[in-house]
Amino acid sequence: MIQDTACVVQEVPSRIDDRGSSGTGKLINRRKALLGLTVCTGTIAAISLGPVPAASAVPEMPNWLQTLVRDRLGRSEFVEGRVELEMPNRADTGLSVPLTVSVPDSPMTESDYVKSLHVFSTRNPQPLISDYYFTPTSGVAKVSQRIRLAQTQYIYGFAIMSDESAWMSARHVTVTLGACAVEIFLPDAK
Amino acid sequence: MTKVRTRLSLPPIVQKGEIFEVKTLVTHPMDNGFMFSRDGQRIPRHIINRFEASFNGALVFRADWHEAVSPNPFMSFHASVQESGKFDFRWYDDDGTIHTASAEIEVA
Repeated sequence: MIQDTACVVQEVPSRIDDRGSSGTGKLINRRKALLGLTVCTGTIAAISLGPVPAASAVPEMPNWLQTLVRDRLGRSEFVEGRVELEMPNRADTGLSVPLTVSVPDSPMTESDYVKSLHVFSTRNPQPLISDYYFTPTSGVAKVSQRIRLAQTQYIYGFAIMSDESAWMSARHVTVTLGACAVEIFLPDAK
Repeated sequence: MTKVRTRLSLPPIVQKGEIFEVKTLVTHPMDNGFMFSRDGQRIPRHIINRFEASFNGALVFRADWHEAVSPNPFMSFHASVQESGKFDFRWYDDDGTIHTASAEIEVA
């Protein structure tokens, strides 16, 4: 629909081209232009007012990530929830983004604890970020680290419990300046 | 290569069974293999790929790090202990060396 609108707008002749044509033609053209503009604005408004997915909803994983997760974690079924990813919504630089992963509701006893947490990136040159392995001695499954992000993307967190249940969650991070672009600020960069 | 330095932050005295935070930091370039030097040469990957924390010889926490971990990697995790003892931290470098640090902790 956006494509169509753009075409309509492009049809509008410039003032110089209009000079030789009749008044009626001019009017129609102007109408077309106005119509085009209206449709265009309408479309934009419709897009911006469209349904916004809830922040907690986990977006569909890309196929390659599903394969990677299955290969590395040995399972493909994950229930949404329990894993908490704490990251800034917007990171000024992708060089060092604070990341806190936790499963706050796990009692961390011998019979019920978080075996491991795994964090994956969707838009980094290397999708693996970190894997954390816990023991009941950990007390609480909560870790913090600083990571590099190449660009704006979704971060996925997976948890494997001692009872073999598997949980997941995702989070969107807007990266203003990706980790791979920072070298342009080096004083003598070529 | 500059000498690797480690920094630890954990409480010296804790209550029995109390959950406390352990913060660790190691100075390391963490070259991820995707960067180029100023003369256009690709900087080879050189990162710390594993971190281990053990208490009185028993493993408490382990982390596998990949290329996305920032330089001078900071790692914080939690632990709870039942007796006084010693925490040992080990960072496994890509070049085969193991950087170590340790800290005593006392249960009040």
